[in-house]
Amino acid sequence: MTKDERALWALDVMGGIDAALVEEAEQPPRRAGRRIVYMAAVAAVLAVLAVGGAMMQRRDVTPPVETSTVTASTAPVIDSGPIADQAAQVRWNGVYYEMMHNVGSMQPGEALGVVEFDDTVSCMNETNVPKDDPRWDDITLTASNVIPVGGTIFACEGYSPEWRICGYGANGKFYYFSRTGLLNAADALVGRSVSDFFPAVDQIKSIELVGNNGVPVGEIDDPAKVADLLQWFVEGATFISTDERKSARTDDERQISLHFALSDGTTTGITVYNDQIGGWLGYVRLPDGFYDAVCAALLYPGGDYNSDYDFDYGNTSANNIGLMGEYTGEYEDFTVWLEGSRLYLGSFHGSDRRVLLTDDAAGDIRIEGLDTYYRTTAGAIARITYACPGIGSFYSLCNKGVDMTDFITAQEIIDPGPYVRFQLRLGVRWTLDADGRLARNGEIVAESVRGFNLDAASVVYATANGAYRRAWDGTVVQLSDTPVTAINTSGLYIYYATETGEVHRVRCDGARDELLGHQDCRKIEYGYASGQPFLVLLAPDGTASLITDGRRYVVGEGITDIDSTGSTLSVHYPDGAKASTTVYLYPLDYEYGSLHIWGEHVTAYDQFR
Amino acid sequence: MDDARIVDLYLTRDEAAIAATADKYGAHLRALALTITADAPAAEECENDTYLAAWRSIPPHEPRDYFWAFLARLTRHAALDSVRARRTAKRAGEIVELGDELAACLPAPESIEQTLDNAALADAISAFLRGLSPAERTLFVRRYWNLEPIAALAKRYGMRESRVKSTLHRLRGRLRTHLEKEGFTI
Repeated sequence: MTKDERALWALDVMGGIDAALVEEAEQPPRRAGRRIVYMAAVAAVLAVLAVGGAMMQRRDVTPPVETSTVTASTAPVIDSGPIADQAAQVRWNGVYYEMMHNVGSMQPGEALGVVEFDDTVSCMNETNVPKDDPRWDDITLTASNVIPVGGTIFACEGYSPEWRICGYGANGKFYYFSRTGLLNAADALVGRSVSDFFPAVDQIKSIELVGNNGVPVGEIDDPAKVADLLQWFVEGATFISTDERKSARTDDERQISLHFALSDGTTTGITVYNDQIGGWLGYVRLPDGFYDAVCAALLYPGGDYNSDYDFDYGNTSANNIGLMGEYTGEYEDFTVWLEGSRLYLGSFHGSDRRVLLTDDAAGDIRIEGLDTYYRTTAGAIARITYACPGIGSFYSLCNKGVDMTDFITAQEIIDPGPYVRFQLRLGVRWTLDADGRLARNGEIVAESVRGFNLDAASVVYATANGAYRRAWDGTVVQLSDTPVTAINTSGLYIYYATETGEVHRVRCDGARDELLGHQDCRKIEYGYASGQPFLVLLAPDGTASLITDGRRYVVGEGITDIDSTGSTLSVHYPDGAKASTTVYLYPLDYEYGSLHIWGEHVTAYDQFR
Repeated sequence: MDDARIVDLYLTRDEAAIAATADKYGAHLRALALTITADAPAAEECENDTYLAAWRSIPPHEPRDYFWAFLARLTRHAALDSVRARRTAKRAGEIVELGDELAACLPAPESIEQTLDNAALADAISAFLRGLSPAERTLFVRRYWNLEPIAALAKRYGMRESRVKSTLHRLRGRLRTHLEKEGFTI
């Protein structure tokens, strides 16, 4: 090793230090004034305590910081993910194609060339080919981490090879790939016409509109309207550069995706970001009026919050990513979660940096602004309020081990209850008591209720007489007239389970009630992973099943409760332990192509019917 | 958008992840790359390489809690590669000089493929850094991880340049002693 090589090697070694040290070095250097801020926060706490009086049922405002090691039985667990180390892909003609999972009845076409370079890499370190090999930088080389060097790349019958290609993997299986819209792939299309690639619109019969967290928000099922809308897009949309997209970005963008199936069973989708810009293969400038036409087809009246509701504003009984921003002008995230009856604040994802907020929590946690709400073990509704640290981020301070209890200004019971379930949205309390009374801010709106859920536009609830949806304006729609045991909502669709073991999906306006399959359920959760929705059903015997694409996978047994937020699934056990995992419906380890959960591939399933 | 949300966009293969990353960290990553490469077009290329590398490595990685460090590591890696590719450039000489300072207190590798030992060595350096005061720690990290010039560090920490140099010299000596105690032969 030469002197220069040794010097660069030393810097490489330094590059491997703990990520937390790198994060810490990004924080502003400490200044003398910082202590003053802390003191001010403590003073604020004391002031509030002094004037709180009888209205505030103060709890221990300085609970001890928990520094003990998280035990295996109670630790929040995030699995390490699929065993594949990178997305399965091909680079051809200078752009990247990523593996398709729904290949329908596509057929290979003409041969296009052969793979010249194996670009299998690990995240930080080279594996197969040294990182200083000049071929890494030569994007004209056809490369893949799936199709071996020398393997043939084929076009797909009926599609432009600039959109879809295919070939045999090293394992002898045949794979299809679709162009990604990333970076050079997107910019390479500038000046081209969408009509060069877009499939014939008359083969598309319906369009589903999906919000930016996978929540369906509308549909267009009139084939003539579908054809008109898509033809408008094909004829009027033009590809633009990434830079042009950036300059046309607006703060209030409401992303909507148009999902549709082609005649061979494969799917694709157009995304609209605002009234000017959309995406399909790359970024496009939309025809005038196209965005408004899409918005006119929205059926779910969730308003601006609808697409973010479940992710950022969801009620869960286990964990909740909250937002705080009233004082700093910037939203900052922090996480509150439950272990047994202990409510913690801190870094949920595998860190031991956490602060015990209270030890009497039963669940139903929700964060709004600077307030965290929860249901106590006695069934009351409690609220913890924070003062903003005012320097750095709340989350970062917690991660550094700062005692965040200094920033708690109030811990109070806001409703003594008792309740068995609680949800809150924008300050409005929804509670269910043991006698089945569903109340809005204490005012009873329904009786004999077995379960309920909020979404951004309504509350849905299950009773012995059926399922109901009550919009914020008070309008009630009966969705089912048979006894219902569990219910959940996800934008346009509401899912419910009947006493007779049927699981249904019905549109929020009561139209299109559809039997999905049979299973006894006491809770239904909705999730979204790998671009695909899924349901998790909890059976009375504690078996949890994940339902997607007509398949039912058993994902746990002996479970008392389930939560799903986005692609994260949490399950609870009788001893109070909880475990969480990320759901991969199409794991990147292309050898399997099945559900990946709890760090393993789940290949056993039955048809959900 | 918070980091966990952006990482989830990557996990669901939503290309909006790239835009969200660029919005939140683009300028910062480019600045890091520029510090290392001292070349604006190269820095921009490193930034783009970072997005592509993030897209390719999330999943399986899920850096919700260390997203900045994750991205910065990718950028640093790309920027150092860029410097390696332009060894005749002035900045390359400076980077080599900086690496040389650090190498003097590390054990001599037998070969450049000493990957496994490198990981153990990085862990030992992390342990050493954790034992320092926050000010010493961040100074060391910003010098040898971010590869920041002495003048920039002096300005950031309100110190004279000579004091920055002497502090770093002392810390390198302590690192050498720490590694020797840990059983590394230097």
